[in-house]
Amino acid sequence: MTAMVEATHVSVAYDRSVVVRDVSLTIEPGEWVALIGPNGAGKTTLLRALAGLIACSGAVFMDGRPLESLSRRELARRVALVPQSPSTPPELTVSEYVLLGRTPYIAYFASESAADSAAAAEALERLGLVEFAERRLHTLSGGELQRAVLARALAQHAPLLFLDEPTSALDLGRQQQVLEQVDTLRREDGLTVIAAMHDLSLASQFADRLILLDRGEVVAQGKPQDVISESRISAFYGANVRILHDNGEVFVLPRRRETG
Amino acid sequence: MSSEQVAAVAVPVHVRARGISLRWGIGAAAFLLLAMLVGLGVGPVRIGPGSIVESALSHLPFLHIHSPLSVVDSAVVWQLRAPRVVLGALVGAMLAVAGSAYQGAFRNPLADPYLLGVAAGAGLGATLVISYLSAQKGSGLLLPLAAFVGATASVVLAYALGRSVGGVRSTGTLILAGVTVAAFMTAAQSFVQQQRAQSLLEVYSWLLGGLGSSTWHDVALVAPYIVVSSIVLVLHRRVLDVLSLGDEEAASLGVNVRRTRLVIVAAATIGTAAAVAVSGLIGFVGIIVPHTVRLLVSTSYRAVVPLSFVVGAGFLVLTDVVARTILSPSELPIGVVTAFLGAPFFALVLRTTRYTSP
Repeated sequence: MTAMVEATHVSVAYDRSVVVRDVSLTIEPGEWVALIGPNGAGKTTLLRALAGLIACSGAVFMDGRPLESLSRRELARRVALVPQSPSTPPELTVSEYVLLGRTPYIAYFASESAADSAAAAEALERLGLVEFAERRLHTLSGGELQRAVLARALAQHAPLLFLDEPTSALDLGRQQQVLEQVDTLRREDGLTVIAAMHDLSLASQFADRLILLDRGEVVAQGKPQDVISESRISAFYGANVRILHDNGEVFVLPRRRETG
Repeated sequence: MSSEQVAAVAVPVHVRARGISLRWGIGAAAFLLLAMLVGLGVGPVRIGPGSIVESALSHLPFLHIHSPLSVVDSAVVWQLRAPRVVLGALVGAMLAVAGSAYQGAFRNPLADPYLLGVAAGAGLGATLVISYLSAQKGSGLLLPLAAFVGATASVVLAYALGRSVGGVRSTGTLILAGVTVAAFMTAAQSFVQQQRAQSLLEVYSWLLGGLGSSTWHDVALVAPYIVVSSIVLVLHRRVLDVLSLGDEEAASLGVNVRRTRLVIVAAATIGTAAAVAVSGLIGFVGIIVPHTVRLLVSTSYRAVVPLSFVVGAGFLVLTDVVARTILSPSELPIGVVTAFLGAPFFALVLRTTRYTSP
């Protein structure tokens, strides 16, 4: 089976500082892989490089095809990206916004077809947004807005879903809801998910595999219970944590340093 | 049991993009038609709209309608006023459409055709011709040509400067580059103007804008540029909505952002340069008209771009009627009227707009 994404020796430099250094990784179809690491570790940059949005050295293969051989449009049919802080034009309605996700299928000067409308309608239904279809984006709450952004990505009908900190602006309940929805979509449609994630407990519970980045390099990867350890979190995040294992689930609990 | 079946065939949500509703389409067309009838009818000789329509229909074959107008009135309407009205409509349509396109391409609600130094460049070109070639034969055609070249050169310079300082991704850099180029062009224009003080009046009356001496020849000169540019921009209306998501997201949706922005800016600039070449500098149309459409109809470019074309045409025709009647028998430069209306409007947009730094 061809890997969904295969990257070998990928490096990205802004001006002269190297932000991603010699990263090689393989993502299998249907996997959920979480990129973790402290702020500035290069998670977002790596996602953008894999999505073909910034130039990188090394090689990236998407479903067996080299990234640079794909046109912007072909790439957009393969990868749907949910950025960390998406622009949501305030006056657009939810259905108009979701319809923009059909752009890779619409000829440059053409309008949406009935099939595009149907795809957008399906995305709205699956994310429980039907009642919000005619609402303007600025009237939505944070959780509703995040669902609208996911619906737009879903309407893109891409086998790969890239999420950059998809839940960083949401409360605890909304975080779980959104991630559960992503997981449902993944199971039902066989999507492959690569997500940069902040919360290590959530990352461990939702992802099949974690890739720990530090200063642009992969320092550990594997199953959550193998990657997450008190010594690693201390070394790379500079954090004092306790790790609980319960029924195969991993919980990362921050602790205040003991004094004296 | 039956209620479950009903639920199973629930009405699917109907998703469509709001374009222009029939109501607004007809409303805008009616506005333009009304504006043109006013433009043709109002002046030292008042001619009723009914007579104008009948006179227009009498030019059509097979209808056998006799024009109710005298030969003199007919000449007033069709040789004096009609070219002025049509030129005003074309220039207004172009400035408004270009304004909406600039606002979309730069994601800046205050952008307008003059942003990248179009006005300053055209001003320099026109001043050069008026100051040095005014007495010579053939300057009648050279003036629009020089204004056109000056306007286009400014934008090319601004674009090159913006890119050379790494402004490919940031629209803010491009806008600052436009301001820089405009400042330089204005300085050069002032230098030429002071050096040839005898042509000061002519330069000023051109700079303030006017449709005073319009002929069918002017219409034929600029119509092709304006029509082609406007068609290109109207075709980009959906892509402009995608660009409103920002460069990175538009790219992730499969749009080649740099190339698209270049095409949009080029079309808007060429059309604007053609309009400026025959009408002089008429400011604020590109701000007033698109924002009025946004307030009344929709913020989607699917509505804003085509409606700006129609409404902009009617708007400038009516503005020209005000300019030539308010101080009758003398004329107020049309640029003064649009500035009177536009500057407060600009302030209003500045206060109410949700402006995010690009």
